Amino acid sequence: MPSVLVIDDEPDVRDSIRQVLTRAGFDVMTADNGVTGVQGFFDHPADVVIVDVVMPRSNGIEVIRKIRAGFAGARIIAITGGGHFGPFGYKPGTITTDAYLASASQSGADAVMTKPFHRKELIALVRSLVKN
Amino acid sequence: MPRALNTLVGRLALLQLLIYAVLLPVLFYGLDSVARTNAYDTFTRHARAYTSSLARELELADVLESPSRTIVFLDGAVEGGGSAYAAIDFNGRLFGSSATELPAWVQHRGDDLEFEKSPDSIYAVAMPVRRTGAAGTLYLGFDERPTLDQLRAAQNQIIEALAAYGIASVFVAVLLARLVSRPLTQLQAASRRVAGADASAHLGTDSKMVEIVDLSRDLEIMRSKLVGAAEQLRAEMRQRQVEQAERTTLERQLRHEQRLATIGTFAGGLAHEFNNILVPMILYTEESLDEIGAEHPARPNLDRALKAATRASNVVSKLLAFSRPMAERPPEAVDLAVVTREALDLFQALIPPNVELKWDIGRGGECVLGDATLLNQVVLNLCSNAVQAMRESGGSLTVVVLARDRFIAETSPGTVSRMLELRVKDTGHGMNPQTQERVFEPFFTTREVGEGSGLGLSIVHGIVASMGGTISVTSVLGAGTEFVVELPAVMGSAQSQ
Repeated sequence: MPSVLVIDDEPDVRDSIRQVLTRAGFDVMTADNGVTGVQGFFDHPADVVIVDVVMPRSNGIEVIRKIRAGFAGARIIAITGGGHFGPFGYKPGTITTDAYLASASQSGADAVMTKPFHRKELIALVRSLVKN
Repeated sequence: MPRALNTLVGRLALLQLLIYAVLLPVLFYGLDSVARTNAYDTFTRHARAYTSSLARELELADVLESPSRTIVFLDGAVEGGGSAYAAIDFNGRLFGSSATELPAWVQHRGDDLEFEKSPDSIYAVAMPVRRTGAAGTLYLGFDERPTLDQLRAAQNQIIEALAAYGIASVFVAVLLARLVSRPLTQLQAASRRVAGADASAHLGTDSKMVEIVDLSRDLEIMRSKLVGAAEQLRAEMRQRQVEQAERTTLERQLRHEQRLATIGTFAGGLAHEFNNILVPMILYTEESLDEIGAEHPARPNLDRALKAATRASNVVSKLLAFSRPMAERPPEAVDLAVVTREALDLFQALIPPNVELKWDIGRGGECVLGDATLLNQVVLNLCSNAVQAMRESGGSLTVVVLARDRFIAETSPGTVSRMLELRVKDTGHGMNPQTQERVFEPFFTTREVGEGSGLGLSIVHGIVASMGGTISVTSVLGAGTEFVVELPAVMGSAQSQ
């Protein structure tokens, strides 16, 4: 049974993804922050990691880099609720949804998704990564 | 003291009058006294000399031998000597002249009467006459009145001369004072003009007096310096007013941008939260729909819930459009006129019959860097707001696209920026200043609940800003509103010829 690790600080997000993927036939583990997420992955490597890019106290980008560094073959999906967290004014360097997702891709994420997403999109994406 | 006496002329005239008030009596009584003494001396000397010579004659001649000859002699003395009467008392016999009776009081006096003291103004002189074996006294009376008349005439002449001199000297004083005060008055008039509106009035006089010339030159120097200083002050004040106005405008813009920035950051955070909440809502709903059968009574409600969640997701993405830069797609050159015409072609169908659409968008050919879809959204949004403002009253909607060169004098002189402008103007109900101030804020709306999201203009603002442009609004309550979108043309800045 393919396994999925979901790292997100939002319990409702975590739980809903777990329920959808469990019913779709995946073995789902969860972590509520980056540190325990990376630790959990190294203890029990999952086939696919779904990681929130913006979390308090831990950076999703760092999580992606560490996992990618430890397991070159890991499959990683970066997700984010979007928004804009930098200084306003359309200046270069402003952190945006696109900037987060671009940064996630550069750090080694195989796919990116913006919240909210549909059940079918989620399942299809995870399945496609497992196949590869 | 009356004002006239406080003038230079008044003071000098008064001073002159005071001097003469003191001097004139002294002069008058002095001169009178001299004239009187002289006249008295002359009169008495003449009277005594005449009487004395007659007495000598009587002593030597035989006149006294016969009374008739004595009388003839005395008559001759009266006629030839200018005396008023003549008498002689000889050997106890008194002979009087035929012209006059000898006054009684003369008989009792053996001496001169004092000048001006006798009641009939007669000055009497008595001289002894000695002949051998006999002695007598010659009395001659002289009329004082002609002498006194002469004295009075002299007195009058003195008074007249002094009065004339006094008047003349007051007149001279007034003339002198005027000579001094006229240039002062000229200076005063000029300085009043300077103190009034006419600062260019020359402070000078036509006087040749050195002191006055010096004074007016110094005053003129002072005036020109003051005028210069005042001019400089005025220029500085004007400069300051301009700077203040610029600063106020900049501050207002900055405040506006800062508020939008704060709201943008807040909207971004809010969108993030909502997206996180929407994930379980959508996933659980879809899960439930997947679990239950097609005929399950909960299905329609779950469908509705999913639809609502999807709508919420759309609202959040609109909010993000305001919050984030529009760098989703690489910008491309877009012909503003073409995009505007396409948008208006679409929009025309939606215009109510009481609104007239007018446009002047030229032939196009000039581009801006951006996204055609987003620009389309800008045009549609501004137009639908305009129509909304005229929904009840009707009116006209005017859309203009034009290009113009903006001169950038402050940063690089001689440089021009080519700008394209989109102007959307309505004749609707207009906005008050408070509404104008907040019109680009997300969720700010003046419409009834359910009629609009309040996001339209904030999205327009975000799109325009992401293209490096600006949007401004001018509105008059009851008369209409105009939005002006300014976007840099693709060619960018070009050196002017």
